[in-house]
Amino acid sequence: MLHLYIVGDSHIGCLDKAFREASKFKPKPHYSAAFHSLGGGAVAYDLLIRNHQSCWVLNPLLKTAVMTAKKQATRITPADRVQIAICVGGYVSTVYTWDKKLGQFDFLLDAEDSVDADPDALSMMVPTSLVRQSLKAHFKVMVDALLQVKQQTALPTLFVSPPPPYRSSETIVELMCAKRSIDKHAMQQPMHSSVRLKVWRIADEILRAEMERISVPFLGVPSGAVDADGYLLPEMFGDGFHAGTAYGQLVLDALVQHAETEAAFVCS
Amino acid sequence: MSMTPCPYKELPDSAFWKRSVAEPLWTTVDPVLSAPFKITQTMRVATAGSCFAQHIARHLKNSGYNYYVRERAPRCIHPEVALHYNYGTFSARFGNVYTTRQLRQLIDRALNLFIPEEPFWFKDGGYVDPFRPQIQPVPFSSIREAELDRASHLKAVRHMLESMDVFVFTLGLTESWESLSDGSVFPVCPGCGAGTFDSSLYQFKNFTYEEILDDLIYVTNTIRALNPSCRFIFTVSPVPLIATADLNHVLTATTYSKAVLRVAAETAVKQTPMSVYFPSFEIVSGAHTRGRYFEQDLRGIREEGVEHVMGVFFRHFTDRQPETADAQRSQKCLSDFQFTPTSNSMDVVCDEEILDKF
Repeated sequence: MLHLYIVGDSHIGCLDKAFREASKFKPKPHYSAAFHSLGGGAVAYDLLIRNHQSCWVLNPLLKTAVMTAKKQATRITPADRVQIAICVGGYVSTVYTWDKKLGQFDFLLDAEDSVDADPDALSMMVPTSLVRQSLKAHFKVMVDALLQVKQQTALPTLFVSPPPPYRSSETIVELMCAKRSIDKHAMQQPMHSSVRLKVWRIADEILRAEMERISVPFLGVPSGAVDADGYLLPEMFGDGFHAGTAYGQLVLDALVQHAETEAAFVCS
Repeated sequence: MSMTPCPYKELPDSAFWKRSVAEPLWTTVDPVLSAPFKITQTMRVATAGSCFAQHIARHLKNSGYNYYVRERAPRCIHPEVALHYNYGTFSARFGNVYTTRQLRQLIDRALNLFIPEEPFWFKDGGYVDPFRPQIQPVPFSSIREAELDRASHLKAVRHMLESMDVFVFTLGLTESWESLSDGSVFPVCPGCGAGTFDSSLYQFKNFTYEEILDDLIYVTNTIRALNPSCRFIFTVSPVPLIATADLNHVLTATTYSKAVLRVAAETAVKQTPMSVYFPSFEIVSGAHTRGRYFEQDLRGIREEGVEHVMGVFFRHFTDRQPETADAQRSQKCLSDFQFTPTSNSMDVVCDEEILDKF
């Protein structure tokens, strides 16, 4: 039997929901899945309150969660297959671009020659390389921790791309407020959607490169989950911040497919 | 005919070299008599100028004063990365402003009164801003990106000019390189680290006293028109020239440069209300120090020298009590200073140091 150990921030919630949903019906999934979520709030706290203290909260939790998965894996039978999947970093596109009060900004991606928002209305333009270097510095400790985990567990480990952002800022606010019963007029207003997508793209690019460097396979966003520009399709939406069950199901399917061909036998 | 005593008889100790320079402990020499205004912790103090201006900024920041940074990185940007891009090093990301003409043109560019013809310079597959060539560790990836960043930067400069309470400008150099097409001046010579030198496009310029004074008066008048209550502190950098292009010996070129800047600053202060000259140059390079505030290269300023300058600054321009370090400094005897490089002098961003590599 295949056993998935899925570790990450709050963005693995959609995979958890998809697995629970699938487990309600017959035939039940032919694999097991255990989820170790670290909580995106803690990550946002790291980023914004503790001034980027190198994933002060996230990394110890990441190590603990993977080690727990490793322990659990030793209890299963020699014929079983195991796959550890890590999904971290979905918070950056929201946290970096959430609150205008934190500094509204924009930047150009290499292919662009203009920005969507009116530059005069912006607080500032920043160099793209600044955003890239900042995200790289932010992910460094997480990647180092992942490399250590990989070396210590010797179990197949895969990195799952965080879900891409929503296009509509209004939808984000509406969904967030509906879930939490908050007056939407009292909510902070996210920055322009194009900035959100650009931050996500740079983060995705960095994560892909880093995983390639440490030889961890990278599972990208399922093609049916995004529109032509790369935003999450409305039917994939969750609570405003996160993707929903439909997105989780697409990722789980891809994950299982990968694991069934790549995942190691525990005692092989 | 009435007989009066010698006019010098009634003068204070500060008027006499022996009593105020030669005899006091050299680390306690204080050439400031009074300050025309005080800086409070809420006042926005913006700085610009040569490398030495960064020492002033650092001490203001570390002492709880409101070192005014108008162009900050967004809060989500990793702080170490932001620092590499010089967010927070300067009040806005203008880099070193060595000459008064550079300052004048910066202000005019921020107010859209001057649009230089000089294009961005190609370097390492990207583009650098000729008016702040070392402002970030990697070039801009496209001309469009450089243009947008410059527009955002100049907007921040304008906001800084409009909203600062005190402007500290450190006059650094008289020598510069200018574009023959429109007189734009650069912080470093084109072709030295970035850009390409072409004598049909650029020429050396050693600004005269009259030109520097005119620039300073223009700068103060223009800022006052935007921000009538702004106060000015002018100081002259004690850091000698790293190189001269004036076909003089670098020592005489340095003396000329500092003398002209010193006179221009003094004259500008006399013509500008709520402005003052602050003697950084004298505190560091006066005869009382016997050169001991200079690093081994006789250019860099030791941290002890900066502390002496800032101790005098805080004593006269703020209500702050002297710090322990200030008191400790006054206890030091001559042999306390070992000629080992101090770390802080190495942390300063200096565009002109590129010249030493040729």
